[in-house]
Amino acid sequence: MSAPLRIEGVGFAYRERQVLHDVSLEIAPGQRFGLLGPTGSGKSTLLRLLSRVLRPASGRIRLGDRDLAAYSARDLARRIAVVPQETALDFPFSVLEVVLMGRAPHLGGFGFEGDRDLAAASLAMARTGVSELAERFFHELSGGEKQRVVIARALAQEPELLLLDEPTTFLDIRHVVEIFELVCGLSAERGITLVVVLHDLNLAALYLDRLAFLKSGRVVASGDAEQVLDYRTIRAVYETDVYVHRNDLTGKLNVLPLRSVKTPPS
Amino acid sequence: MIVRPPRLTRERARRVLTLLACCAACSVVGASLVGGVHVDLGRALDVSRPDNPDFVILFRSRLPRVLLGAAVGGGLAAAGAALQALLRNPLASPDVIGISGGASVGAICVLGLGVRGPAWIVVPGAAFLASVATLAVIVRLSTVHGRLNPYSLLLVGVIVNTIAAAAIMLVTTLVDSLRAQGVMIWLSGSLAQRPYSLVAVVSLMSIVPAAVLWSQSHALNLLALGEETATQLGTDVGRVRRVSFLASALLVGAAVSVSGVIGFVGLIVPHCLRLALGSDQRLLVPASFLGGVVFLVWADAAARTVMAPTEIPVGVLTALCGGPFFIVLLRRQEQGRDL
Repeated sequence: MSAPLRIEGVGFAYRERQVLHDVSLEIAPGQRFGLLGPTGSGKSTLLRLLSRVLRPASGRIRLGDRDLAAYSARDLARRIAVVPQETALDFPFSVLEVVLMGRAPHLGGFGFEGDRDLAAASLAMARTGVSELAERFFHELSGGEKQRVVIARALAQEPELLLLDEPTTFLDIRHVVEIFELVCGLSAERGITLVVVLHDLNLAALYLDRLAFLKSGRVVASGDAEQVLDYRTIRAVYETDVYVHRNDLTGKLNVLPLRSVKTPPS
Repeated sequence: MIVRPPRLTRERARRVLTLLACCAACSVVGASLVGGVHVDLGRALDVSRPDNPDFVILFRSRLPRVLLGAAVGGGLAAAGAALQALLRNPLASPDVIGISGGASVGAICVLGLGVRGPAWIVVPGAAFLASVATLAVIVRLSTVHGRLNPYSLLLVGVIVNTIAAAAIMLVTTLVDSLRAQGVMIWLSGSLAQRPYSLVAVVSLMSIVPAAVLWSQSHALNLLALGEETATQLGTDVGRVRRVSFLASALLVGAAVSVSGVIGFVGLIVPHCLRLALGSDQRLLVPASFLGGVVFLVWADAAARTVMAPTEIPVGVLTALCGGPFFIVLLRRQEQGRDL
């Protein structure tokens, strides 16, 4: 059962450098939520706070009616899975072995995977289209294949919340679309909440329902994608002029950068 | 391309480990019967003539030595397997990254300076403390921006080994020549002439930490995905690292305190087993222990016999074989090939 995620007045600092200031956001179950903003705006840090790799210095994050800090590590890993930008393995593990690692929070401390775990892994691999790769070594795969395996690993955790940190940075356009179709499909089928950090505003417009813009660690704008993707907001966040228009084919907004235009056309 | 071993299941782990345990047991018996002098097993076990020469050679000389070799070899190989996962580096091994060197400085200070106290506790204790301290320094120095850098690790290991060698030279020049010779023989890695009480202590210090490492082995698998992902999969990474580092340091301390620096066991054994069995630490850690037993028991048998009646220190033998092996691995890694 999915639970809402509430970020309430969260602040965070790496040593002296304050990275997030009083961030408050609410993410409803099943929502596809995008965290946008320039490099260094604190969006990846916020994502790491959500996966509890980092702990907030002030404010709190609640999943359902409990504080994130109150969950045990295993409990949290059964509810939240993370897909990083890229994954490099130090040792030769097969694809199946990597996907089965997603079962870790469901195993006993010393446990070997049982039939139930194997079934979950097989299902995840089938859904992400990597079943034929099961016996291959992970490090031999292409970037797109690796990312699908990592998503299968995350799915094997059977999470209700999927956090993705620029999951398509290193992929070409075909694989970008493939990955986003996959995770959005999963969100629709299973009610998995998505929180995606990304740079590409057009992808955000195409795939996500709600967006938040961060700048220098503060939320500048948040709300429905249609409302937030406004040229004034984007100029305020990125200090760049853009032209926002509706794409006839997708019915979604498109954002195009403009060259050296000092004032936007009226 | 390497043929991938099948996925690890409880049955497969049991099968492989049973087989390896049988190999280890046969090696202990077999190696006890090998040596410069022929031993007749029938006469040695003849209870009507206790203390016959065969009995004395087998049970007073060979068996304690072989058992000690088994404990040391198993401990070093299990520590090697765990350190490779902990440090995320297939080239890590207690001697290559300098832990053995640090531990030997600790042991030598006690041996050379003649610290009083029961030898079976003072020397292993000093070696253990020194290996913990060295490991802490090595990890600290090779961490760049919060991440362990594999190449820094190897470089730091070289420096630590050089400093350790210098410290050992210093101690040996300061003490009298008789004591210095004893230190040098110990240092080159020998398993000769030890009482059963010491064998028992070292076996305990080898088996218990290796079992601790085995209990952490699934978490060690997850570390291969990176610390952050391991955390997000519900692992207490800090705890796993502390427990595993301590257990590894204990294994190295125990091994070094009785046999000096026996190099490359912790590199060769886990590496070959990874090729044969796969990377899953739940099998690799215990298999490395048993493989290390087999490896060192036979290496020592070879050291005793190849130039009989002269014995080569077993550490010299493993270093002569292990050095080239390491260079081949390093070359392959640089070329980006499978390790």
